Amino acid sequence: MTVSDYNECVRLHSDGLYRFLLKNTKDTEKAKDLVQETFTKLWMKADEVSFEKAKSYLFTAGYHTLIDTLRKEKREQTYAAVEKHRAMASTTRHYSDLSELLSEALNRLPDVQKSVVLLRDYEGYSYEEIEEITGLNASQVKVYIYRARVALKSFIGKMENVV
Amino acid sequence: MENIHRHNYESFFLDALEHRLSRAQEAELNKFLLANPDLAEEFNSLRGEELSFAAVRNEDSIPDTIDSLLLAPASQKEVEQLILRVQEGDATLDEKILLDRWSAQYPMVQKERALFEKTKFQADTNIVFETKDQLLRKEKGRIIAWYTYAAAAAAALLVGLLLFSRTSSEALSAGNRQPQPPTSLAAAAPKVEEQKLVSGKNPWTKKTSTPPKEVHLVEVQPIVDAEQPEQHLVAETYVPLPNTESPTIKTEINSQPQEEKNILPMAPILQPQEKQSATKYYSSLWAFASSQAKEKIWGSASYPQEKFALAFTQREMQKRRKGEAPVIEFEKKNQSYKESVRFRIGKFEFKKDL
Repeated sequence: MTVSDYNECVRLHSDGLYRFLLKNTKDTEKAKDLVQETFTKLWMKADEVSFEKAKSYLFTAGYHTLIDTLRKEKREQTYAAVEKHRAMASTTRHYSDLSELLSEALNRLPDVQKSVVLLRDYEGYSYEEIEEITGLNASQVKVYIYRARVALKSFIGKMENVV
Repeated sequence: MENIHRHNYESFFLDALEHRLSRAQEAELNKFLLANPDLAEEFNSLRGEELSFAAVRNEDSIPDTIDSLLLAPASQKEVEQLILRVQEGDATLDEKILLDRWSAQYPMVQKERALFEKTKFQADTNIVFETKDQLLRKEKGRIIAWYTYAAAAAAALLVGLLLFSRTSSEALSAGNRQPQPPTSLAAAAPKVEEQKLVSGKNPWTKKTSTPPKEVHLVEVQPIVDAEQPEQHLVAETYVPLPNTESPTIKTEINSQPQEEKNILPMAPILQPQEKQSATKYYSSLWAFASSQAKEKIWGSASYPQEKFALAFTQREMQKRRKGEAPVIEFEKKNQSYKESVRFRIGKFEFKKDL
């Protein structure tokens, strides 16, 4: 990959990668850091990664960096913080629109399920591509998407009934 | 598949439950069930009418024909799976037709389908990564031009040092009232090295075989303030000096550079900008480091606590502010050269193989 190819990748894929990471982290600064780190990885591998494969590489590296970061944060999270989060999550609240409701439902999903659903919906990746990005096998990808959709549907249905 | 009769109906039942019958076979099965009510009852029990979906479905929509019974969903899970297969594009044409029929016939299926449709996320294209310029890399031509300017600046500084050295030597000679023959420029450089070694203050410097190394020190001011990083906007950074005779230029900074005598002011690689944030500074610094890595070496950034990390950012800085400073190390692909450059920028110490 040439320098101009790399710069073109920045123009083409940084927005999508940022949206994906932002939706997963819910933290703009953290998402920006992850994007920067991911593109740095691409730059370091520029000799090995072709322009055509760059997007896949970016989402693969971004996904794994994200998962590492989230796992590390969870390890550092104190018991009190977890309890506080649970208490807040269990509180009934009102949602202004479907988007907000769906975001809340998404936040309640396990990290892996959240990522595969967003890869599927945001970027339109196939099962095979998600398999390649996440390192999961095809069955796991299908099952995670299935479980995530059912959980999202249940949450939305429950909240709509409440309203 | 052969025609259905009382001795082979089980396989038809199983295929029907798995929605693997063709339209013609479905019609044939329906006729068979109408003709054999006892088997129709058995078929219905196989379909698990007692499962949750059947229990909650609208009583008004319960079909009264065998044909409709055949097409009725057996459980909520079955409905969910079919909706998801259709929604995700995995369903066959028959499954799509079946779901449409279920949706038309059962309000519960219709409601489930509508809810699943809402679980699809749409990317908000208004959200963009605004600091793309920090990710962009310079074209090779520009890097060469940069090196040209850097080399010119470094050469000018080297000449200045040699002139200064000669002037000092002459002044010393005059002070001792012991006239000495004039010293050539070529002979001056090794003297710098000898003075350095005699001083013994620099742990990085070791006497080596020819060609002799030139040791230059850069005085570096801390660029990172734990509380107010914006106040440290300017940093001295290392510029590699050209040496046509030998690539073994060694530049280093120890922990107390102000005590060293042979200090050269180096042209800053990164042009400091007013109100430049720490994040931007580190980003541009990393861009420089990466360009070095791209051109000559492969690079990695390592932290004492972690085995490998690639970029350091303001966030990481904040995390590690109380810990040990991260160290950025570069190693040349060809390990035959062991000559290296180490330099420190603020809390960061750099080592670079040449």
